[in-house]
Amino acid sequence: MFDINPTDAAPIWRQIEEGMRRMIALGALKPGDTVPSVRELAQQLRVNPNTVARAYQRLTEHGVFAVRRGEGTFVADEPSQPKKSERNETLRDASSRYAGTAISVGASLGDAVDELNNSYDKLVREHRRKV
Amino acid sequence: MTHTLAVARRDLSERTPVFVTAAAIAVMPFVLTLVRGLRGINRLDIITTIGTVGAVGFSLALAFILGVSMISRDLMEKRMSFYLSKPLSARAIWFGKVIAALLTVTFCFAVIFVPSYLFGTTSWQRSWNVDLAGGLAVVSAAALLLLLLGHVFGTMFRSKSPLIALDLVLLGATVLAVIGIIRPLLEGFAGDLTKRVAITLFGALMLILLACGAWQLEKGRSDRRQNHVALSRFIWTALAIVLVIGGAFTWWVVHPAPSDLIEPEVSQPGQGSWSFVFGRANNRMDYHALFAYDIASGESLRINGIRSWYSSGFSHDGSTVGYLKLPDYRAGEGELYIQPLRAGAQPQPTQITMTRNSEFTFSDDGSRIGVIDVNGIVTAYELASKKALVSAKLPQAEHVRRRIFFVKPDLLRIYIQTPPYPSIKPVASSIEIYELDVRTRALAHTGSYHAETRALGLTVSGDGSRGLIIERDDNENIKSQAFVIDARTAQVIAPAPAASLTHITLLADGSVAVLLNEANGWTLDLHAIDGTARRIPIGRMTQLNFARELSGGMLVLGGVEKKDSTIFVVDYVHGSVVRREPDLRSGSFYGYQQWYGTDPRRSIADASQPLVLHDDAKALYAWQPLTGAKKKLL
Amino acid sequence: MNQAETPAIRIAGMTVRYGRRVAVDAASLEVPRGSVYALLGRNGAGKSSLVRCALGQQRASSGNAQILGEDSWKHRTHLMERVGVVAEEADAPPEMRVEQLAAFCARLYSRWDQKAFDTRASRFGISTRARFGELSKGQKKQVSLALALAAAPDLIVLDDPTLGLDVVARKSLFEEVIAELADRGTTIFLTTHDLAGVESIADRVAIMDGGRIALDEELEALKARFRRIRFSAQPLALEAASFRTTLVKRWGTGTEAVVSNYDDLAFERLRSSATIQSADVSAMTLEEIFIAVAGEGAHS
Repeated sequence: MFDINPTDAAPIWRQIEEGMRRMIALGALKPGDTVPSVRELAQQLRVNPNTVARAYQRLTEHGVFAVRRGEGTFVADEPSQPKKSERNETLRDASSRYAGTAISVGASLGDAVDELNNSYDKLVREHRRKV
Repeated sequence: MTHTLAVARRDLSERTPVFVTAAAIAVMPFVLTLVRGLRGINRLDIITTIGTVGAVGFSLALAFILGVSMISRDLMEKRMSFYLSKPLSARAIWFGKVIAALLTVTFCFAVIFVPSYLFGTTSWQRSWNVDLAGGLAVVSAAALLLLLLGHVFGTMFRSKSPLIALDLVLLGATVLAVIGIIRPLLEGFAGDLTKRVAITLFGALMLILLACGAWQLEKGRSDRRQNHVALSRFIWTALAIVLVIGGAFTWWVVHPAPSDLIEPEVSQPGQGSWSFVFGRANNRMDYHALFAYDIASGESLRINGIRSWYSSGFSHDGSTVGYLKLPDYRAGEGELYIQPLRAGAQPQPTQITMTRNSEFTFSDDGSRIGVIDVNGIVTAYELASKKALVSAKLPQAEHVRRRIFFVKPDLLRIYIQTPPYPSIKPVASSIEIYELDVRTRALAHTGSYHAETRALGLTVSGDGSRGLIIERDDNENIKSQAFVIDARTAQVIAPAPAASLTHITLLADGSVAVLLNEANGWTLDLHAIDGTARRIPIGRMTQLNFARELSGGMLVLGGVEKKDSTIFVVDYVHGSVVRREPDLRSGSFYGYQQWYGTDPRRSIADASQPLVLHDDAKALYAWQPLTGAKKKLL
Repeated sequence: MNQAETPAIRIAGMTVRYGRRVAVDAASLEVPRGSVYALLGRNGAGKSSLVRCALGQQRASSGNAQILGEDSWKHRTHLMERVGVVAEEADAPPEMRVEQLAAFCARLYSRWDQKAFDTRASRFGISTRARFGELSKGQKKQVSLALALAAAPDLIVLDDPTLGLDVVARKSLFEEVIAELADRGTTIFLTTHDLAGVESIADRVAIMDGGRIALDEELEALKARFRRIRFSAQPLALEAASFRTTLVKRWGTGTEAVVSNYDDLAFERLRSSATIQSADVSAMTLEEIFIAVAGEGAHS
């Protein structure tokens, strides 16, 4: 589904949460789709099931996932987007890291923005191909 | 239990090579019978001998090897965690392994032994001459012991801990303690008791060894050294407890009181009121004890390491007893000890060496001791200085009976009688008389008596001047005879009436007394020196079992008639029976056995001193012959 | 405290001495139920001694250990019913066949699941007729793990489980363990050198250094507070901003420092104060954090 980088600064549960949101945003996961069980995803990603459970819990709390008793976990019919403030915070974190990297390699803002464009498009295109 | 068996099963599963080896050894005896060089020997003998030897040898060696590896191999190879990380108690692990080892040894033994035994059953019995069940029991015990000792050895030596030094020291101490427990019992001649104590100690050791592994594993777990520490602590503590109990038991056994003796043999006291009491101690199986016992006061002094018939004797005045003390119960010779007979007195060594059969005597004033050793050397010692005053070698040393007494403190008279015991047919017999003079330091041959007789007997009068010779024969050709002789020169003074040679004696006044059993009862027949004869009727009895002269012209006789017994006190000067006491009989089971060692003189007891007698229920009494007063003893 | 709250393992003030050498020095830690707890340390840091004492296989010189709420020395026998152990050195007898080992364990554990064992054994590709001694090191570990898991333990203790395993075997071992945790909520306690392997699965880590517990916290928090900062100035500025630094060394013309109490806000303030130029902050892997805490020249 997506990869987890254990050495990344972001905690694994955050990466899972983001990964899931990305999949939904890209349309790889549609509302009502079943989501891998905690056990399955943990094995797939080779991470602690507690971590997966934590991510799932947050996604459920934020209305992205819905749990149906006896049936499992599904993408909510109307998966909610993160609140604006949260979204901005997340973007700010990621962008400050990106900006720092760009500055350290001596890139200009324009070059940095170009690269950002390319990466965004690539991700969307790649995912469409997979789906 | 299931866990224990699971461990046992696991251990057994890796023993296949051992079983294969056993099977190979089992086949060996049969194969050997085909070997050409052995063809001559009986086939069955080969099978039974080699089969048994192989079975026992292999099993015992296997038991030890398994014992060494059972636990300590896993500890050495750090594999105890295999068991400890599972829900197995230390007990289950230990006993599981012990059971597996025992089953392995048993199976291997059976595999090797049974075929050869079955093939040659009768031959086996013939070759080995042991009870099969008993032999198997011994082999089983040996195997179990070797298994457990192997374990202890393995744990202690392979831990590489310096604690092993302490273990060896404690082992030495234990061995000494066991000897300390067993030896006093053997010194009391308690062979059966010793065997039982030894078996009990062995059983306790086995129980300790059986339990030690469980304790050790529980405390030491996977640590090699901690296992050793725990094992040492358990074994030595448990052994200490057992040995303390054993020591207390032995202490109790070797400290009986005279009242603890069952049906003891009691000697008649001499001039004093002390006598020997010897017997089996109550509740102590076959442990025997000997005491010097004061009849008057009930005080007793324990005399260790001798039996009642070893060389011993009381001094004439009854104030001292001398006895042979052997260094251990098997020794043939030892040292003469003198024990003053009063409470609190300690026995004193004399540095005089005697054997069990040495003759010895005190002088009447108690200042000298005369001893004849096994080589026939007679010596007079001064008791106070322990110095030998004079010594001489006697001509005959073997197959003689020797008796001695001090005529005077400086003069020791020796009687040597050949042969020492009665014969079936009349033989040439003799009594040679010698005197050893302290002042002249010379041994003089003062007299000899010769006779052809079956049994030659000599009694000397109380003052040492006269002797009574008895030649006992009872066939047509040679008749029994008795003579009064000079005790020094053996010159015949006068013939003595020979009507009753079993009941004849010399009295203090020199007259010969004969006890005759006549139709209307016993009669005392007295023949004085001047030839006059008197008769005193005594009473009815079928058998005389006691006779003793008292000072002041009294004679005490004891007789039994079936279950009834009577003691008669006879005043032989005035010719009457002054007292009859029913239900009392001789207290010494040795009958007339003289406890005065080798003194041939007819002892005369102090009339005021009590006699030791017992009633029909075997209870002992001190009985005053003059007053008839009875006091219970012990 | 109810059953779900008592820690799976609690070690309090444990000291282990071998003669004069102190292998474990007043160590204390708690392993929450249902978590994955990784104890890290260099060779000889005292991990194995601690584990042996925690499991009641060895007596600590002082202190105590509790497993599932009970003293592990006193109650080892019945505690082991619920604890699975995969030892560092495979300790099963070499002549035993795998199926015999399973049969032995089956007799000891009331919750034994033979089918689970057989399934795992075949998944690992191990023949149950093989003798334990003939297996490779990795296969021995796999068998040990299969045996431990088949008893359905509440806690599984793995002492350096990936030592000697190749990459594939390592991954499959962690997969098994993770599945177990997901299925049954088994607590997992492991000691390891393989920091990359535990990085993705540990909830809590502890680092043991010279017998002492140098660090004991949630992995996420640990990773959040450690940063490597590279900048072309002297490190004094960092200390002035009350960053705790370890492992300061020269990097090119500038300095590289490991900060153990990193905070975004504080760092922004520092950067905006313009005393530091071209500072580059990067997160650290668990391995890098470990080296900072317990490596050579670490002890600060």
